[in-house]
Amino acid sequence: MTNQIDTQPQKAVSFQPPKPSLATTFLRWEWLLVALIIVVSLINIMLSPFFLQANNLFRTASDFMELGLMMLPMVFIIITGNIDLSVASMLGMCASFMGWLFNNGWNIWAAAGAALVLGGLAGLLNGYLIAKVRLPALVVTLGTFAFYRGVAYVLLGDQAARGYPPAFTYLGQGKLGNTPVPFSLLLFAVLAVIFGLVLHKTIFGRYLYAIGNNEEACRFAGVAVDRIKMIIFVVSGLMAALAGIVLASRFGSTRPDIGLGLELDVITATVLGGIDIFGGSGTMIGAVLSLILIGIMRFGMSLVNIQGQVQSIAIGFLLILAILLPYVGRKLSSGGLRLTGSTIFSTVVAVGLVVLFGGFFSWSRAPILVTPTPTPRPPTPTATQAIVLQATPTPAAIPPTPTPRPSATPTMTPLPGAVVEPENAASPTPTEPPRPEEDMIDIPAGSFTMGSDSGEPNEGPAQTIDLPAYAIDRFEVTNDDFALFVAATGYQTEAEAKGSNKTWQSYTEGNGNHPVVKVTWQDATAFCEWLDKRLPTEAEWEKAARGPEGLLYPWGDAYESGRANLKDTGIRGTVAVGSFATGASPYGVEDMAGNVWEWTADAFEAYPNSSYQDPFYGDTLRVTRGGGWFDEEAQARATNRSAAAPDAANDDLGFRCVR
Amino acid sequence: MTTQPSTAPRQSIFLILARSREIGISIFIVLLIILVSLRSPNFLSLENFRDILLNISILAIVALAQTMVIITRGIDLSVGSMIGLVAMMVSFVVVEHQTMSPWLALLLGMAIGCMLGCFNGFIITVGGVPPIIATLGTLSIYRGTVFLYSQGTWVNAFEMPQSFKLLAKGTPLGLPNLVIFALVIAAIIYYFLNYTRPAGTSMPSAATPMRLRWPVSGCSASFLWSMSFPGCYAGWRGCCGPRALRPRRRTPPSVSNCKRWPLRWSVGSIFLAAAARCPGCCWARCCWALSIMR
Repeated sequence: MTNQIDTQPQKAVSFQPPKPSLATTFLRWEWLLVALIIVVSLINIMLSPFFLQANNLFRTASDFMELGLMMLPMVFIIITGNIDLSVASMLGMCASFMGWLFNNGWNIWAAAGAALVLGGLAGLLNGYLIAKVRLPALVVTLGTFAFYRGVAYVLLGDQAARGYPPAFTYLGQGKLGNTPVPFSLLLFAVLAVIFGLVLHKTIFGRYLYAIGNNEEACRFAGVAVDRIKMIIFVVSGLMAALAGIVLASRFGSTRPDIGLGLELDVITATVLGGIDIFGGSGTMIGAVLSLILIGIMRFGMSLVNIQGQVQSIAIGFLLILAILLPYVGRKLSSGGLRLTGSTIFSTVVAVGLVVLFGGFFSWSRAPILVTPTPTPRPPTPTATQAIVLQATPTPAAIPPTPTPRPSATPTMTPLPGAVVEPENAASPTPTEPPRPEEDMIDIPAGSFTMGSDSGEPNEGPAQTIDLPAYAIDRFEVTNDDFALFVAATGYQTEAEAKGSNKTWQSYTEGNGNHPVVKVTWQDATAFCEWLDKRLPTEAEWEKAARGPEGLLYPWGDAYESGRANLKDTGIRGTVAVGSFATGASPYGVEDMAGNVWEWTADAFEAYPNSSYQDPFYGDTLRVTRGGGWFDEEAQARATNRSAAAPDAANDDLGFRCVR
Repeated sequence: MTTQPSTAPRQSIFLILARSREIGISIFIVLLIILVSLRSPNFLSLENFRDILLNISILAIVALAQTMVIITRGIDLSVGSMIGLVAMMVSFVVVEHQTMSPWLALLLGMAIGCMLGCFNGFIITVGGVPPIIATLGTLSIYRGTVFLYSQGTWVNAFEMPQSFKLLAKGTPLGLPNLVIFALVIAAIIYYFLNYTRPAGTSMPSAATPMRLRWPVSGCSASFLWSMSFPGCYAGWRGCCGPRALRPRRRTPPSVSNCKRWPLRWSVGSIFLAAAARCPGCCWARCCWALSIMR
């Protein structure tokens, strides 16, 4: 990739640039990006009234600043025809190093300074191997990509560093005076101007282009190529460390997987900005514009509730089309596109394959996602179906039938969740009704921090609680689990006994793997007793959710959209348990935040030593935890307490058991 | 790629050793084995060796195909995403059609993989997009498609027919099938690279830089073909993966887990890049690549 220089004479450094005509001035890549930004903004404005709010725009901007900080030196590196794949790993290593030092009692500012030094050293290692040992940049940074991330895991292990002082987190979360401009945006703007000036107005910047165009010629011309390469890789390390500090400060915590996969986003932004991947051309303005374009595209898509994974499809296509269309356009305008047989043939084949793939795509997934059948697998409706299920009272749903119900559980087929392996299915003991597959997580004995002083007054005071060892269900109890219970015992839920028009069965159709809802506290207790389990106490629930470290959310101390099925996912209904694996607690218990609220065994009472009095305290209500699909981040906090009457049966309230 | 010494060195033993990457890597492996087994003695157990063999077979299948791409001066970053997508699609089909022959499922996976690989190849050859950018883009596209396809659901191992699961972990010939697959593919690629004409047309393009013209030349076909290889083998691996890799995890074999794969496999395959001349050593390279990743 990097060694094409001497064979591309058409890119040789030209000392007399041709005078730009009006057409070439406006046919530049940057103007195309500007046009795209305007188009995307207009579409966003039409799609959502929230797009043009300054607060939203600035908050979104701060999400992209770490990416931007790493993009600035990447522009330098790619212009010289090199690449740095290790930036995100350096970010992770430096942030973890800072967290590790802080955990060991260092002052946070000293730790941040040390992280910057480490970033510089990491960049120096890259630069030394590339410039002095003359290894290809792709190979070197692929190696250090794995190495630096490994160091991050060595430093922090499975732990998170957290509890940074407010002055430090203010750096990442604070805003400038009374304006909605975040500090990180200002930092990025200043640095972008500096990097841009260096690139376009200094001799150093001109050398970068020269190296990218013809490295050998530069060497013969006496340019200190090796030193320049070392400098840009060290700068890349420093900026990655800076981005890591900003990211850690914004999240309020550090985990070793921080910034995982960001390097691809950084390269995408750089290349989309018109910087030639083989080096030698591109501008800083283009790179900044492409960052803005990616930012508002992602923001617009999340405003209309398109998930992050699906958003990346659009970014991927944008990246490819950005290179492909100008190439094809150039070919067409220069008449260079010869319609040879092989071009036509491969185009026809490609179109045919895309059609074939699309057909297979919809054919193979149709039976799974659209028409749920009683075959043993987890059928799940699309998100829109889930919304319909929850929002409209579908009269076609199964009516509440009295006790013997044959429909929900065809007991002869092995259900999802049942432990009937095909090889064992031949000899089931006929007397033993199938039981749900047991997937429990052992929580070791020990103390943890319960409650929080910074949340609602009913959560305080934070105190250390000691619990004996217990095991808790990894997932919420699912519809299939509950169906087995009903089939085995003939249990009738309280909602069914009352003759409510919505019962747990109204939500099972095609949702076997979703958490059971419309169950009262009594129903939940009965289910747990059937399996010789019980409902968790509040303390047991909170320990399983927060881990020994006492995190605020199961995954860390800061809220992160997309780690739990809450309102902001736009799903607006239950999802299969375990769908949000990234929201697992340190112990590996999943869905503690979001999806459905969970019953606990305890009555809604004040914590010991609490001076706060709530009018609802007393023996009448039972505590529910974790937040449901209709709730926001505040309810998903692991310390948040809510309560419901024991005979409440809601469509966002389920449970899990402990033993 | 560029570390060939420019002057002919004296033929001292040390220099020959130093020049040959294969020998250097072999020495490194031996050292590593000694060190690790000193640290934990059961490293040398048969059981552990079988596990390593199983794991590197998966790596080897993808890395061998990547070798051919890298020889043509390309790179395929999207293999991880392709594996996720193929695994998801084949699993859906297999679960829906329980009586399907596992070999048919294998062919289906390879067919899907070929389609994805051809799409990469098409963008690169006809569209004039540099391989690293094209596959960076399809990495995101395929990964997003996995999510679009599955809507966040997953397929559990127990839902798959037994015959399908045995495809990867069955041991009819004494070795796990997966290892045999990898050996067969290594043999095919060895033959392909050394004794066939398409290889002849794609190999010189490694030496002579690919310029604007080659997309429409006869090179196009061979490059298109070699670009489709990772897809093809990613497909194969995708079929074998869900059960073989993590039997008990209830995570989808895709979405989040694939994120770090493409680069890891690229590491492996860069050390494989010279395998055309010495494919016998690629196993050693796989071991090495794997050992640094553990």
